[in-house]
This record gives sequence, structure tokens and C-alpha cells, in this order.
Amino acid sequence: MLRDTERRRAIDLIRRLRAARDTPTENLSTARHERLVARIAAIGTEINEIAEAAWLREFGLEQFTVLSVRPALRTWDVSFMVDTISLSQWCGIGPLHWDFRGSKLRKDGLVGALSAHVMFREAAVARRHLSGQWEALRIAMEKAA
Amino acid sequence: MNFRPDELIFGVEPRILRKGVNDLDWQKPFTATHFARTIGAPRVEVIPVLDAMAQAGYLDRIECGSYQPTSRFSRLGAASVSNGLSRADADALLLRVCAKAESINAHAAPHETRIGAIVVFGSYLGDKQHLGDLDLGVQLDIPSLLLWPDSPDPTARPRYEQQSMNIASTRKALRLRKPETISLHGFDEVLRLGTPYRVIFGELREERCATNGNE
Repeated sequence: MLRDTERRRAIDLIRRLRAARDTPTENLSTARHERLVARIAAIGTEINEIAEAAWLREFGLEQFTVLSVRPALRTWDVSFMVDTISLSQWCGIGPLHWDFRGSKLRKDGLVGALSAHVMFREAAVARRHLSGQWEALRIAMEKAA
Repeated sequence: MNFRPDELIFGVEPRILRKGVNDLDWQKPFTATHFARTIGAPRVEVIPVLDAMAQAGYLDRIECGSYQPTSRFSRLGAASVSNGLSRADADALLLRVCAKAESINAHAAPHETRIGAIVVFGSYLGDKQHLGDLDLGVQLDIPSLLLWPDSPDPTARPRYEQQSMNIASTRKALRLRKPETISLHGFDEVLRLGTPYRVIFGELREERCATNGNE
């Protein structure tokens, strides 16, 4: 789903994010610490923008869409309202994973207050329309990094 | 107002719409993004819904792309979503509600809330053979006045909380686990609506109608 340029940029940003998060903060002045926090936030935002652009381009999927996701080889699925879409790597290596966060649906199918977090490379994904109908999305597995 | 579960209201499944409406403050303006979050849909899909609601008089468009709920807006939030019930089913349900009220009163301890009176109003009093839901007004018989939680009396707060829970559980029991079929209101609400009603249980006590049902 990601274009090659997007994938390369996302991997670069994830490495930078990891490096920024691993920076020791004990001896940092307040101003430097604030700059570090701002840099981490900016990198995170840029990763989110890349991921959100890909999903918008492929499926017209935006923030607040309700999704049901069953990651490949899993027996459980999770239904939730999307708040943020991001990309991540396990321990900074390996293939990129989609990283969704949002609010879980309650048992009655309405958006609840519990938070949801799901990561996957390949999954069965369906989106809910306002009519209450679910539409399956065809997700291609992300290439290895 | 009653919606059937299979009908779409402004293109939205009725329970989803009702939830979105109920999560908003009906007195304050809101944006499409805010409504998108409460209803669970992208902003681009929500804007046509809001425009249709504005056209139907549930909202007023105001500046900066915001919407102001009108007095009709709350009706969407209070609507029941069910396939309705036949008059025969409604009659049977009324008998069960009365039996439940008798049971509550028979088992209530002296300090617990009792059912003072129940009235039926709405479509049941009309000629229709198929009703949207069963509208009931209840007048509770509260044994003593509710105490304020910030009273200097140390037992006041637990007693207040206990009494509040008791009132809530009494009302819940009257709905017979049929929240989509039975619509329960306070009797003072029925009086405010100015709608005709018929007493089906107990006796109304006018001096209490200003306090009961407001828990």
C-alpha cells in the first residue's frame, strides 16, 4: 500500500524516533529537553501523516472511521473507531506494521470509552458505514523493510 | 418518537445516530468534526448528514461551519429504536408493569422508595393498533426528602447515595428489561408535556409531582 518513497521515509523517521527516544535526558537542560520532546512529537506526526495518506489514498479511510480488524494468524478481532494511524517496527528492525489506535466499540456496536490498539502487517479489515453495513477491505501485505 | 431498527434516519442507522446525538451537549453549538467523533464516521460522511438534519429543522447552521441544535434535536436523542408492539402486547405489558409495581411496593422496606402511581400516555391512548413504544409516567413515593451530600451530618452522604441508588433501581425494575419497548418518564415530565394520560396504577398525589422522577 505504501509507495517506495513513503516506505523509505517512514523507516528513516522510525529510526530517528527511536534514536530521539533513546537519548539520555538526565543531564539535559530544560530548554534542550523541551526541544527533544518537540522533535519526538514532530517525527511522530510525520509518520502518522504518511500512514494516514496511504489509507486515505487506497480506501478513503480517515480519522473516526469504524473498523474491524483481524490480524493474520489471529483468532480474535477488534472493532474500534480510528483515532490515529501510524507505522511501527518491532524493535526498530523487520517489516513495517500498521499501528492503529482508537476507541473500542461496545457490545451493542456503538463507540465506547475503552481505548483500542492494534498492530498488523496483514489483516482482514472491514469498515462500517453509517448505514450500519460492513464493507470488507482488501489489504495487501506490506513489503519487508 | 420511535424508529424501526431497519430504517435509516438521514442515511444513518438509528442507534448510531441516537448515540451521536446523546453524546453532544444539546445547548451548545458543535462542529462536523465533533459530531464525526461522537457518531464514529469520517468528517466527509458526516457533513451531508448534518446538512440533512439542518434542512429537516433539527439544527441551525451558524458561522464557522458550526451547527446549533434546535429544540427538536433532543427528540432524536430520546427516540426509541424498536419494531414497536401491537396493542395486545402493550396491554399484556401494562399488566406486567402493574404486577411489578405491586411486587416492588410489597417488598419495599419502610425506608425504601415505592411506586406511588403509574400513568400511561402517548400512542397507547390513541386508536392505533400498532404502537411505537409504551410511554409510562411514574410518580415515586419517596419516604423522606433527599439529603444533600455536603450536609454536616456524617451519615448524610451514604444515606443520600443509598436513596439515589434505590430510586434508580426502582425505575429500572419497572422497565422489565425492555428499554426499547417501555419508555419511562417522571410524572412531572408528563405534566410539563401537557399530554393526556390515564392512571393505571395507584393514586396520584399532586403535591409530590414536582419532586418525583427528577432523580
